[in-house]
Amino acid sequence: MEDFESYVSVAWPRLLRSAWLLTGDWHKAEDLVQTVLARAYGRWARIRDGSPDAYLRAMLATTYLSWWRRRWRGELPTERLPEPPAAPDPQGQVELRHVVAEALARLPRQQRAVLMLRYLGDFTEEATARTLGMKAGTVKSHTARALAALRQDRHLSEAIGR
Amino acid sequence: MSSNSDLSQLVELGIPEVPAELLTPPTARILRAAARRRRLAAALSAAGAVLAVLAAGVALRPAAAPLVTPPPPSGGPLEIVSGVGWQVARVARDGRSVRLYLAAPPCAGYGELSVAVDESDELVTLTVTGGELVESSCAPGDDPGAAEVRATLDRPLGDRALSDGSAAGRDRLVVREADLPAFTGWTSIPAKYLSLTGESFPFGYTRLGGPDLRFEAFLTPPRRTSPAGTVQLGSHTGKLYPTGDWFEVLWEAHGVTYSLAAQPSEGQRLEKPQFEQLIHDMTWP
Repeated sequence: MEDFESYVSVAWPRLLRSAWLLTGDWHKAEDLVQTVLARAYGRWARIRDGSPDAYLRAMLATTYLSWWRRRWRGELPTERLPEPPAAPDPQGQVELRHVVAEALARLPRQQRAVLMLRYLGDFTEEATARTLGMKAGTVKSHTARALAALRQDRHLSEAIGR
Repeated sequence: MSSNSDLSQLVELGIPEVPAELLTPPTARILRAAARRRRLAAALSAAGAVLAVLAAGVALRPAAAPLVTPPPPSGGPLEIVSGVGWQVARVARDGRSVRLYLAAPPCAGYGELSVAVDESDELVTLTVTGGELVESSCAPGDDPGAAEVRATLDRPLGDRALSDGSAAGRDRLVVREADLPAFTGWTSIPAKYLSLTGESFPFGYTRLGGPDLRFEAFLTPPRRTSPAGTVQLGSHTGKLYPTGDWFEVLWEAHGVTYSLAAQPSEGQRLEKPQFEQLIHDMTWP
């Protein structure tokens, strides 16, 4: 299916970034996006007529949470990033990005899934709730808790305050 | 940082740029994986469709119907007339004991399975026979996962190829424990394989105080970037990679790529020198 391949070539980077927000690691992100695209291929005729990005982001979130539950018990959230910044950074932007990325990676996995759908996928609270099988109120509380955790993150506050 | 728009900006800011080596999508790999999924689904669809109808008959019954007598059982197992393909073979360290893993359709498991063994000097063919599908609960957590059946070879597998008699010529993932380090002092972590495709096979070991050893065998080498060095694993050379959470080492043996990562106990960290020491302390073939 040519249009599937065309879509993949265009959407790949943004799906990869969405998967990174979930996994905090580029290799796991790549595995996750590949898995989801391989599953989506068989349903492509139906997916392409709707909103493929939204559909695939929903699949990313649910597959990621399912991996977490099923594949390895007791897996821990990502605590550090694999590739520290190497380029010169006189404005401190790369360092800030690094601190933000670490703070995001420290969030619990369900909060990351909610943030990915709400802020990268532009899902409404209701759509996010339907996708993740939770109540809209739970989506609201995950968002609020993520915001509170980021606000209380000492390294992040220091980096933003600089 | 006080609003949703701030949070949105922060999320955008926090995601690093995609590394240059990952910018090109592995389209061929995705299409191959999709094709494998299609073949597996086709092999399971006939029996699965019948079971789905039977399961739907139960699921669609009104929940509150105390006066209605439940329908009788479906009449027992449904015999499979075609061969039952296996997805993964795990050959014990003695080379003779083999465990085969078979994916089952949703809400179903296999009845008693047996294995026909055909050995030659170059090839061992294992054909699963007598497979019967039996209904199982569709409730979350009740899925029995992949079925497991054991076979014993007349002599150790050695370097001989292992093939699936129901799918001649098709690559199957064969995990040879003789290619793995010794696990003295470690305990196997029980695993339930709910969506086995035959492309990869994870398994793990644990011990008091950790860390847990996370292995994964791959039919085709997984793509990794930015190796952090090499390490000698007995007669094989492994490549170290950072994973974000910790480190992993990849090596290849008998056409299978293996990955090993060590997952520290909760609240602890495992840095590269500790991981290298852990690898060094293990006995490798």
